[in-house]
Amino acid sequence: MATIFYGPWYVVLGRVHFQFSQQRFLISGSDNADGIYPVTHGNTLVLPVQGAKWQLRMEIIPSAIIQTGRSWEPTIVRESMKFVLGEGLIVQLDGTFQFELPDPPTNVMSLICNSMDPEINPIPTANPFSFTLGEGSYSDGDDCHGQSHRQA
Amino acid sequence: MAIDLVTLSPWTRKHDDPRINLIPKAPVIVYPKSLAELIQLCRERPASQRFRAAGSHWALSSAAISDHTFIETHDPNNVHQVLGKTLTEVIPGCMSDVLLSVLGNTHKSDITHSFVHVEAGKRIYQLYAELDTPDDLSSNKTLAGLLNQNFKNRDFAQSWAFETLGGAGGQTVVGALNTGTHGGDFTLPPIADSIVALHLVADGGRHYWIEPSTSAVNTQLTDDVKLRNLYDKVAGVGNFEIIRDDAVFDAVLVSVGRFGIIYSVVLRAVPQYMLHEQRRLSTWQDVKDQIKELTGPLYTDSDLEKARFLQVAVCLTPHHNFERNLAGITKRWNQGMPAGDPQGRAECVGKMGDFDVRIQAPLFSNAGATHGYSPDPDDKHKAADPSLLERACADASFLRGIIIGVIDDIEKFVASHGVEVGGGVAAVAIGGGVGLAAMFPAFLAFLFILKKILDALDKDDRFGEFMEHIKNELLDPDEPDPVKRAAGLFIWQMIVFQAFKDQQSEHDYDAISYAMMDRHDYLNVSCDVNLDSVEVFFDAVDDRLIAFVDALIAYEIMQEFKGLAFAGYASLRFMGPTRALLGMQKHEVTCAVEVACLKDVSGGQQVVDYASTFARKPNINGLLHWGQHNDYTMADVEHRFGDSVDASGGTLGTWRAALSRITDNGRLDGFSNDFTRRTGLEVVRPKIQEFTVDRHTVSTGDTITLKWNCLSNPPDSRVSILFSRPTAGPSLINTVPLVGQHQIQVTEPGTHVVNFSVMRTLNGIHRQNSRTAFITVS
Repeated sequence: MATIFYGPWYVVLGRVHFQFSQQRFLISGSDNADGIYPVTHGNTLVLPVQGAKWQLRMEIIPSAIIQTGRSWEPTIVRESMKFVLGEGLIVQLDGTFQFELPDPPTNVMSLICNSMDPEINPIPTANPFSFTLGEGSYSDGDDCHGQSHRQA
Repeated sequence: MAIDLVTLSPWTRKHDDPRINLIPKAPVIVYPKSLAELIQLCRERPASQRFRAAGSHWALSSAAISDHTFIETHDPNNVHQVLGKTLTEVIPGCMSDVLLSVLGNTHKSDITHSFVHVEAGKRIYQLYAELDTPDDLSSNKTLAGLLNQNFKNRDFAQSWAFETLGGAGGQTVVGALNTGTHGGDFTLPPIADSIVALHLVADGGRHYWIEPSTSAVNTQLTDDVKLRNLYDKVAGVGNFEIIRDDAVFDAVLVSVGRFGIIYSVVLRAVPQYMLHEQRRLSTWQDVKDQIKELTGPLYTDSDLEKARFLQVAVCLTPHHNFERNLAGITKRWNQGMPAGDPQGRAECVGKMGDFDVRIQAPLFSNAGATHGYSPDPDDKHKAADPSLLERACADASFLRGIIIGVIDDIEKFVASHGVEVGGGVAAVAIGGGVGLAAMFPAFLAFLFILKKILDALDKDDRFGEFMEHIKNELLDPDEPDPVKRAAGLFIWQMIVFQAFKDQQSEHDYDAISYAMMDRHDYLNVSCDVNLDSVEVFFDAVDDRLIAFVDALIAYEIMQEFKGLAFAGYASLRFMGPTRALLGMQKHEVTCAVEVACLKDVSGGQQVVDYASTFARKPNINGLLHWGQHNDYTMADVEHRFGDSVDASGGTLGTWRAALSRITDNGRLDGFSNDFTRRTGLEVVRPKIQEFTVDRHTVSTGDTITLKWNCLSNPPDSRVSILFSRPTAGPSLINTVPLVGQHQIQVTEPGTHVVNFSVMRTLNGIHRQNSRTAFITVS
């Protein structure tokens, strides 16, 4: 299953979780990064990808050590998105594979994709302000942080 | 027949800057008073003058702006008579006998709905006031009266209500439905889905009674013979058509005026009901992870039963050293009707007065004429005095009390050398440092400035201008002293924190349906103008929703670091799915995030623009409200609703097919405008009605005749003919009319090929329809 991206992103290899298979991811439709990227446990990779519309998919040869000759199979991708202050828009792709029923799918590889689109990534500079109170301060008010300040 | 009109008059929208007319000289503004006048207008439209319907002028998008003529179904200035009648000719006059029988044999607690038929220009608050007033049983012109007369059933003479409402009742009923307007009832679809029939007048003057084929009430609403007897005589037999088709009905429901003018609608009403509202203050960081849990605590009432309404109002201005954001959580659920007069009825509807000729309906003393209803905190059965914000927006002195409180907090804090910390200071700061201690001198300087601003505050100052004044004093992007910048921002965050906390404070109360749902402050003269607002719709369980709000917060923090600020909040409301093809409510539970700003306050427009940009990115894929700030391109719309040049179909394909049916495949383009062309809400696929070649086998020297008719296309469609001879490349016969004929003499033997095409180009995208003919020459 391919995940479609639009515009510029960094693709960062988060983690190869599974040591006993061959894994890879493939990029197609990009301006600069089409190709096959084999990954193994312990690898690191940071890949800038440009393109109006491109796609990424993850594949695995299950148990390749003992079953040579098996072909690449797609992983099932769980996609999650978040926006992190200071980092911007992030899509995490977790590739999972069902090795044997009834075992649950195993997470085999994670990719962290960080949008490089300047229009949607308001990245503040480091906080130039320090809105902090000294230890001698006290307050009785509920400040809506879920607790009352009392730092006498 | 003389139709009221004015020429070269200003035309503007409710939320525009009152100092500037959006359109200083609108060529023509027309005020039709009847169906017959509407039909006449559409039938006699000059080809060079396109039309657009407008009503309350509530919408913020450019969808309402006409290329030339504005047809007003309602007059915001209350000068002209409007299309505001409650009609009785169809309900009950043309209802099907089967449905009348079903209703007539339904009693008391088994009654789940009734119907009301209204002209397009009736405002929502007028209709809920009328619905709340039981029908006259002595008249068989009312549904309740007819059921009483024919079935001896008096039970329909009761108070009725909208199934759901948006947050304001000032829009016209049709304006609200046709742009997809909604409330926050996540167990219910938006207002458009309460419509069970509509009456459309299209360009050319043809008019249509449109119902779904699968009726929401399980029984056909109306009787064809009765409808024809009623409407054939209005503009001639053959000019009126009854359509019972889901696709057409679902297309017209949300169509931003592109199909024509909706003259009237039939709404399904429900027995009047009470609502309980509970509001609690929390933080966005504490609630955001609960939004995905559709059976979780956010969606339940105090007895852990399913609630019906949820709103999460998020203050984008941070506190707690930029780490937290206040969030007001509002829930509603149904309550039983009280024995006596329900809370909110007297305050929000009041007494029915005389028939008003201008609105063609009785005036109610308080409908659309008061502050939004809120309860007395000491007695939830009584209405409270106007809130600080309501008073402020009525007389423009907002924030005076809050600023005095902030000044008091800061003075005590500085005077005690940082020991005595008031609630506002404690909220905006965190412990574990001495950052604020360095700001004492700057705090004192700002206090002096704030006091001077308060002294100079004029009650006629507009709220936005006042906020801008304060912000300009506190936040200066060019201020070189970092301590002074920090102190100013700290005070700004205190003011916003306290204002938000005041507005989203804890409360619990009951009120009648409309008093609870219509919270608009009709006496507001200051806070509700020169606004911009964008609303973005997501699946409530999609990560994109949370990412979107977090991105807005990040944007605001970035602005504040630079000395800018946003005076407003993001409001998340939740709703059920709609049947409308272009409706934004596509999911089991859809969440709409509304971001509104006062244009007077710098920094606000930037947040609205950012929200729109972020939402439109294909990886985010947020749906924009049609009636608010809407920057959609045709590519955006096709990405979301389908029917791109590469992949035809989808809901937009169905919608365009319905538009094709009503407009003769786009030939009747009188309700096209800049907005619909930009967004691709147009017929895009040209069609060939006729293309013939008189002979396919001829001799050298003969003449063949090509005939074609492509009139059923948008007028800007183009026809081309490519003629290829056996010994030469194709020659183009260009600039040909949409209907015509052309003769060609063949001069050499062999196979000749004619490629005939009609093409439409919209927003740079070409679509064409072609036919090929072969001529054998001996």
